Amino acid sequence: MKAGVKSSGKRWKRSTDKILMWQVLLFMAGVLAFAVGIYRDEVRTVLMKAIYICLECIGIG
Amino acid sequence: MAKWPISFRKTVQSVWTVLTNGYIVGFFRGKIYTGKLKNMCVPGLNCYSCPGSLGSCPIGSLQAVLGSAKYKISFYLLGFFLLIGTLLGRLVCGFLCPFGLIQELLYKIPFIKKIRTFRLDRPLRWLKYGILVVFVMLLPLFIVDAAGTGSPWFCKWICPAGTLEGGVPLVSTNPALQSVIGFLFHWKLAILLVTILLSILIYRPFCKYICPLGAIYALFNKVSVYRYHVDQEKCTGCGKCEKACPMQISPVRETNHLECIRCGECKGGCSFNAITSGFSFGSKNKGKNS
Repeated sequence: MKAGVKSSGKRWKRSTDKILMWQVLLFMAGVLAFAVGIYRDEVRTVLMKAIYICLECIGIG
Repeated sequence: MAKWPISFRKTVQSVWTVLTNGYIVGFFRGKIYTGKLKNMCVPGLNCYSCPGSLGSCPIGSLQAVLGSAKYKISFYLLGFFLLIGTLLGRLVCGFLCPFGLIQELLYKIPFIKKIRTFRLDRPLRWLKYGILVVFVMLLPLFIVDAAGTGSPWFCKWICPAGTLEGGVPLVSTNPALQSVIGFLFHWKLAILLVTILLSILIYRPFCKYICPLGAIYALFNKVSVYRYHVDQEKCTGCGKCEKACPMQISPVRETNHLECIRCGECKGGCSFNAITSGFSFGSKNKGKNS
């Protein structure tokens, strides 16, 4: 019984560690990609599209 | 003390919708906001051609960058989705999406019979991933004109949010636009009408089957920092949470499922306080559902 509880606890810790690892990894990748996007001036493309009426979006052309 | 008449979630949804669409003067002038705030994307589906919109739509922006002649990959949007997805997952759908709020309000309209589920419900949920890959990514990337520019295919042929938030208010107040409407506008208007009718019958049908933004955030639901936890010692397996879930998933068997929009209905439905949610690094769930 005790062995079972111990192994379930280990399994839980492993799963927690795995999720934490993914959270840190994805967050860091996000910060990096976001910074690269700003450096490549992609923001200007977004802004240029957003400040004019998007005719496709509203169903004109 | 009198109870606040609407739920906490509805309050957040409403405040967020008003805040991110606060350029009220645009609705009267038939024009859109053109300031620097539009450098940034809002997390939810919110057309940047909505006269009130102060930010950019992430799905429209992704198509704009992928369809531009200059870039073939968007690190800016990739980073945005990774950051928001890792922190919040589909909490964005439940709390920060104006089009989600509109569908929820439509679902409140009484009707003879509401449809909770139907035969093709589950298979159709995969459709949004196909729409994300084909209409948002592949078509804008590969179907390009002589200048190397691709169209925003999803916005152009599918998105009813653009018609409702941008098309209808702009066309109704701008005579120049009224003179050029044609087949595309009527097509999009038909899609919007179908979406509205379905939203009265089915809870958030656009989010369930079509939304490519929901598809992106769903991929993060299993690992997002904001997550749900089920206390196996408190759970009696009564199934009340499953009945309460408007997205028709089992919060106990499928905790943090791709379809969970973190609306919290399951928490309210549980009499034993077995379901909790919050920001946590790693998983707090001890047991099979972690």
